[in-house]
Amino acid sequence: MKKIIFYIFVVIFFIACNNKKNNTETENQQEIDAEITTNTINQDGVYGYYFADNTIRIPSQSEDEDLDSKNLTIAIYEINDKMVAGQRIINGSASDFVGTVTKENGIYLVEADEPKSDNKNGRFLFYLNEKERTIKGEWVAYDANSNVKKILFELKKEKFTYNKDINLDEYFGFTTLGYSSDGTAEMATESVIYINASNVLLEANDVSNLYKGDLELIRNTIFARHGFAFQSRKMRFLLEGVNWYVPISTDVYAKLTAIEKKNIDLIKRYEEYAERNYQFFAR
Amino acid sequence: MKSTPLRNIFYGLILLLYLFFCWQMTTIMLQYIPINTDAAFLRIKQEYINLPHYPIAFFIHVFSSIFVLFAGFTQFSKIIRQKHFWLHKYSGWIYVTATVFLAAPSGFIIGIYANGGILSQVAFCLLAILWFGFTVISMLKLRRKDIIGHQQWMLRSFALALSAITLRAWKYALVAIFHPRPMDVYQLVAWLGWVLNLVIIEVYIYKRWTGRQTESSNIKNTFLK
Repeated sequence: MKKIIFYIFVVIFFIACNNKKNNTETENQQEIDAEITTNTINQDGVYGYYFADNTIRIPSQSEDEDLDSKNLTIAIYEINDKMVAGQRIINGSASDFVGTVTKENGIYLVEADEPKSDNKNGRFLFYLNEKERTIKGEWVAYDANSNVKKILFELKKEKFTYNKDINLDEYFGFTTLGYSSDGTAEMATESVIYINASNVLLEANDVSNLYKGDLELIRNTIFARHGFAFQSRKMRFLLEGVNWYVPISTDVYAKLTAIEKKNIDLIKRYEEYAERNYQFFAR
Repeated sequence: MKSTPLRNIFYGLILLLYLFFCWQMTTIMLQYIPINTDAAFLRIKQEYINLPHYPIAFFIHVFSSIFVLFAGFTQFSKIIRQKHFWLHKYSGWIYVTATVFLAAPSGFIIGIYANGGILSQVAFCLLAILWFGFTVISMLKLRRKDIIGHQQWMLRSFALALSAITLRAWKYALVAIFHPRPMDVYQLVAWLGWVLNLVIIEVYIYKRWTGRQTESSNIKNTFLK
């Protein structure tokens, strides 16, 4: 009997010793696989990003959660007297468009189409004022039954520059991040203002005592600095009022610095740990 | 102490509660099967995972603890002690072996790298030393045929073994009520989890033996009945 139990222990011991490297890297690898090429575009003159948060939308069905976010970005890659090429980003999804142009007195009248293959896409009709660097117009969905039938917008050109030192405004120190299942509010703490995960390499001690909500916000702020257009409704809602935030890309992975990648990995670990352990019978 | 139905129900509930917690501990253990150095708790211990001794100590600790918990609790049954003495002997052997050679030393090693800084590191290392010590003392008492001494020190030893459960239970309760920061609560339960157990068992031992006339031959003095 003693021997049997002893052997059980020995076997467990050897199993424990046998573990070596495993899938630490697979997760990162997947993210790298998903990345697309860097899209830094020419922002001179009329080229660049046009953005506003006073977009007006006319939905076909009034109850639609996507209406919570009103951010719309139009990127003008190329425009001349005859044609235009660009991209629009809304709610974390992007679509290229091409179209025809008529120019009169410094005002481009643009009629442009997004790919018809996706019935969530639509057709643009807008004026681009070369001098004021503004865009006014409308977007109409191809699908008359889609949730968002029409968007009216007024956009202003915003020069996008990446600034690793910029951080969230002070009001984020006590902003509501969301509500848990029992209805209690999840609040951010002032850590989210002081911890910048883009310009400092964080250590375990910097993040180990943070709430999950703070961790998530600090990590996502890295992406926000690069102009990431979040699909997450929560992040769109939170960042809507941030004056430096311009969503310009749906994939910024290639632009992340080495510090940022390391910090994202570290923070993500503590987020997962908090998610699985914090309110449970566990360490 | 007489055995009344009420008392039996009470013991039954305690047993069920204990089994529930043991099951919880088993599910925690199962998170690491198959052996995974990047699972669950280890997700935030990656800075130490490349030290050769850390993962070894960690897995020894995780897997031996289950033996400790299951083997330890059987020792307090009067029926097992008196009518199935062989079971007492063998599960006692499992408890002592798992504690002295596996769980306590490995607990000391991972305690050195515990989360929450020096405060919780001291707590876990001290816990490991005391647990090891109490268990060894208890066996030495047994060797000298000092049954009461054996019982007393084993009670202390098991009170510390139970910290695996009480620590997590405290954490669960504190988080549910106060919503503290994760490492703040970690430091707190690192102490609360076992010091309180030890205080309770000392009070019990005092009331049970020191409070009255001690008879060294009184082998019938038992924990549960």
